[in-house]
Amino acid sequence: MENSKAYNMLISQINATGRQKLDGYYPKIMEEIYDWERDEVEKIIWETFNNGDTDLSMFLPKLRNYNGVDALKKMLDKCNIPSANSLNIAETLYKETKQREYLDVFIKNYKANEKDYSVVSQLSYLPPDDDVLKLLEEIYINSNDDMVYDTAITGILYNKGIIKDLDDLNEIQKNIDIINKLSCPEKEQRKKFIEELENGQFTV
Amino acid sequence: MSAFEAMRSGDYDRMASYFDTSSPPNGAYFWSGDGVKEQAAVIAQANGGTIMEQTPGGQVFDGWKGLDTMYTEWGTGSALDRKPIWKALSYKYASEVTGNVTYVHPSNYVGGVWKNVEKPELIRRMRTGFVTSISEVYTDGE
Repeated sequence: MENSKAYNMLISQINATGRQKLDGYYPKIMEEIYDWERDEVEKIIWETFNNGDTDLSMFLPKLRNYNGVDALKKMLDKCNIPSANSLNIAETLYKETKQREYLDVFIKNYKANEKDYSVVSQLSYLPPDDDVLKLLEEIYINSNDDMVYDTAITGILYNKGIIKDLDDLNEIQKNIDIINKLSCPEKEQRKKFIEELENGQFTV
Repeated sequence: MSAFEAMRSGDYDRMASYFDTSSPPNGAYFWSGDGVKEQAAVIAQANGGTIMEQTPGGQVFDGWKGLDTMYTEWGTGSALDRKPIWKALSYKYASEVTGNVTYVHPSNYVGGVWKNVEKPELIRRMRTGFVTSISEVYTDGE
């Protein structure tokens, strides 16, 4: 029997190199594999994750044959900070548990390199909530790096519901004037913008 | 400091600065998805553009078979982690594009490097007027 497309994408990405490796896994693999592939896929994910491929973290809570959440917690304890691995695991565990300690992993990674806007971007993609918004606002107001506070802006707009889908390029382009106005070098002005966004007084 | 010295010291942004990853105006193509690199390369070339891997600097790293054996780890944050090397190159490529840029990907998939490295820089370049628009080409024809 021929394997599903999702199965083939999983194997291909496990063996990927270069920029393809940076691309990450197709997120709907567990939903789109065939039922008869499931045990094998779970074993592959489990073994590959335990060999250090944390790009697979998002699949661990979906495993039926293994305690994926427990494995994520154990792996996080072994991770360097800063590292992409710690962020991948913290992202998954925060989505699963909403526990503050996993947001703290984002903070530690950001503090280790306050120019690494990709940490802020990954933070922006967490499901919107008050703690994520507060953290993005703090970064936006206090950062000295325009790339970092620019990245925080889209996350704030997503958390505020002004941008509904961060992957919708039309929506981003439609809101470029708001992004442009919020992108401001003066911290006091940025603080004022946040207050205006909070009380609904912000206008372009 | 040479590119090699920058690489050895872990300063990958500086390392990337030594390589030509420039694209023609309106000719920068980005891609995500399994097997999409080749499709994106064909589409880019047919339109007088380029993907990062077709630039002179991108070719050096894309064709560097020994890179994976020199930098054996991925995402660990150690001195042997090669993920930051690719991140730095992707950022360098995005930070120089102008005009209309094109993102080639399956309609149901957006890649991690696009989301967290390339797109944020393109939004900034759009905000500052260097990028005029971002178009999408779906590889599955959706």
